[in-house]
Formats: sequence, C-alpha cells, structure tokens
Amino acid sequence: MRLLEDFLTEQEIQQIDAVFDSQSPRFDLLVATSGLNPISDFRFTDLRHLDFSGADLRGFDFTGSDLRKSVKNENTIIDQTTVLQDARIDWIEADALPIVMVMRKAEEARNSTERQDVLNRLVAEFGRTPHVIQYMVLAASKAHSIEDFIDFALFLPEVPSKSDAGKLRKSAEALLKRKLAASKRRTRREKTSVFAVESLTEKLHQNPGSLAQRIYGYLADVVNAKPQGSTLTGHANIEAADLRKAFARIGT
Amino acid sequence: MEEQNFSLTPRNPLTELSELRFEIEPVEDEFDLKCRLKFGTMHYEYREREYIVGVSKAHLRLVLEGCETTFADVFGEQALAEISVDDSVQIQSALKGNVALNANTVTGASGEVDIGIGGSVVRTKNAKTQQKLLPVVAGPNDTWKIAPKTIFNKPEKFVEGSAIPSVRLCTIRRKQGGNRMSVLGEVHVSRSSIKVAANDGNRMGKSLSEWQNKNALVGLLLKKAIQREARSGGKSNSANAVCISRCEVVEK
Repeated sequence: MRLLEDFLTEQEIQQIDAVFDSQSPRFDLLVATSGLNPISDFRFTDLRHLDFSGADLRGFDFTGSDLRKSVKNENTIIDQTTVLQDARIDWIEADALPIVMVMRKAEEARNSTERQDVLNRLVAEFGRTPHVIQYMVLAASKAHSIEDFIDFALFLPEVPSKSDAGKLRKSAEALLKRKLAASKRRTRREKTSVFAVESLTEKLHQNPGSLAQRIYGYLADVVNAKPQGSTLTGHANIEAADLRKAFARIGT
Repeated sequence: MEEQNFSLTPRNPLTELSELRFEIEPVEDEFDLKCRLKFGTMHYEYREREYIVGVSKAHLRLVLEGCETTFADVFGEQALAEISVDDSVQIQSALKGNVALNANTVTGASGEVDIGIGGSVVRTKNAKTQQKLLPVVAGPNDTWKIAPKTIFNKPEKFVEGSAIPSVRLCTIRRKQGGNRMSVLGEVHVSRSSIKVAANDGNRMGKSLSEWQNKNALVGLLLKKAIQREARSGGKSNSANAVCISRCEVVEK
C-alpha cells in the first residue's frame, strides 16, 4: 500500500515547507514561495473563502475556478492579464485601510476575537514585514493583560530576535504574575489559581508557527519534565508555576 | 468459455483513494461483467497539520474491443422522472359545517362549477415528481457517473465507500466477426473533483486567512502530486482530468 507521503517528492515536501514557513500569507507572495505556476496551477480549482487582500493577481489564470466568498480590497491588483473566464466570482469587498489605521484598530479592539480579526488582516495584507513585527512586539509589550499579550503572540514569529524576546518576556512575566495574583485573590487559595491558566493554555496553541505556539511547546517541556507523581496517566497537570517557567523561556 | 480464459490487469496507483476490479462470468453465449469499485480518502499529516484528500465525483468508462454491451439492464439504470398528476374537484363550504350539500350545481363548459347556496367549488391540481437519486447512474455509451448526494440534494464532499459492490455491471457479448475480446475500464476524475480539506481540529485555523491561504496552496501541491502519480505509467489523460484507476480484462 502506498500512502500519500510515500509518493511526495523531496521537492514537493520542500514546497510544502516553504508554504508553512512563509511569513507572508499574502496570496501572490505565497504562490511565489510555493513554486506553483500562476498560469497553469489555478485553473479549475476550488479557491473559495481565500484572502486576496493586497495580492497582485496579474498573470493568474483562474479559468473555471470557484472564487466565491473570497476577499479582495482596493489594493488587490486585477487587470486584463488576470484570466477569469468561466470562473465563479462573488467577491467580498474589504476595506483597504492604511497600515497605521489597522494597527490602531488592533489596539482599540474591544475583545480578543475582534483583535485577532484585525491582526489577521494586518498580517494577511501587509505580511510579517520588520515594520509589522516591530509594531506587534511593541503592542504586546504594552498589553494590559496576559490575554491581550497572547493575542499578539499568536501572530508573532515563533523565534523573535534577541532584543525583541527580552522585551516580550519581561512584559509576559509581569502580566502573568498580575493575572495569577488576581485569581488567587478571588479564591484565596494558591491551588485554585490553576483555573486562571486553563484558558491561557487553550489559547496558546491556536496558531502553529507562532510565538504563542512556541510558548505552548515550552509549557509541554516543563510539564513533561515534572516528576511522575504529579502527572496522571495520560493527563497533564498544569500548575501556575509551570506557566511561569514556560513564559520565562521566551527567547532562550 | 471458461473464466480463466481471461487475464486481468488492474492498476490502482492511489491505493487508498480508489479500487477498480472486474470479473467476467460466462452465461450461455454472453458474459456478465462483474465490477467492484470502491472509493476512500487519503490522509496526510505533516508538522502538526492534517489534510484529507478524496474525490467528490468520478466517471467510469468502458472501452470494449471485439465485444459490445447487450440490451440487458445495467447497474445504476435511472429511469426518467415519473410525474403523477392528481386532478380533483373540491367543494368548499361557506358556512361551517351546515351548508346544504344538496344545492344545485351547474357545470359550465369550461369545466368550472358554480354552486347555488353559500358555497364554492375549487379545482385543484397536484403534481408530484418521483425520482430516486442513485449514487451511481448509468450514462450513455457504457459510462457511469458516481456522485452521491446528501438528503438535501447537495453533492457529498467525498465519495467514500463501495460505489459498485462486486455485482454485475452489464452484460457483454462477442461482436460478430470479433475474435478476441477485451474490456478496459477507467475511473476518471476531473481536477476540480479532487478535494483536499484541512482538518483543523479545534484550532482557530479556519478563521485565520493566513492558514486558509496556506491550506489552499498545500492542497494544490497535494493535488498535483496525486495527478502526477495517477499519470505515471498511464496514458491518455487530459490536462483537466486524470485516470485514478483502471482495469483491463483481455481474452487469452
């Protein structure tokens, strides 16, 4: 029996790696990274619900493809070289806001979902350029709560620069300390502060390839290294101290 | 003629995706062509992400040499829809319960009915269409279409299971003057019928356009690999369709 992975060539695996590791999810840049051919590989394909914000679609052949419910904005470039013959189109038009406006919206977001949506758009359209990363590091360092910090960490690269890591670690440790202290104040018991960490750990592993996911990995290492007595079979017993240790490893 | 007088060459390069197999059984002067056609899905797990590959629609085509199909019924025979019309006349009362049913009625030339006292007559016509939606439908010229539907008449995402469960597909007979019979069956899928779905689990991947774009491109890379694998050693594949299984039965 031959499995799918058995007949993927070395080159195809490298192409998949390139897509996974790409810092820019902008469609045209991803295509260039993937090695797919805009002239031949996008004909008669299902391209629904994709984000073409800011993408340069000149030279793409979408003949017979389904592009319904895909997003484009004023910065999406479509001209006479974009082939849309027999394509099913029902664009969702998104606002093309200047980058500064998008950044401000991320900081003014009323809740986590709204912030993640805005950050999603920021990264999708402008990519993880040094400018965008610098902004997110700064915003995460100024975050008011550990939850806000994780929102930014979900979009930060897995391995930040040394200087960025230092800022992020300092901010995260202070915010976590505050969160755990507040949790303990409410219940007056050290043990119950663990309830505060549950929602945080759940949030950390939502975006592979991000700093948040890396912190989740550190947490797994910390829990795995604990003596057998404090782990139940098949279940991880995460304590507040484990989370502190995991956040303290940012940039190490 | 004995069954062992036929040699069988099945070719199912995508072992998890589809399997086509024939058997020829002599019945007096004719032959029953028995067929087993199964579909499945392929799973690809890589760097903590999982993709499911399957087909949503397929066609089975027979190429017969030295023989032809008979008029005997074939598997997946779908009769045209039957419409039953119920044409009736209903007398409706104007007063609840006690309108005199012995009122004089006059039927006009137009077929309408007038009623004398406090009532009216309504002519109703109900038409009902009855059609079975078969997952495998026999088409013209020795072809079969495999496209299971859900109860809402929408196509299933993936064809999964036995489409033709080792039963008689059709009956063939030797052509006049034909001295060597050969039956070739091919399962074709169009490029757009090969579906790749990212299995995001509980991650927020679906709401992240970053991963929507990345998943779409990984999906296209996997589809290309499948098309390449299906083509290797095969023949006569167009740019937009590919033969995923074939089976040849040749008279020795």
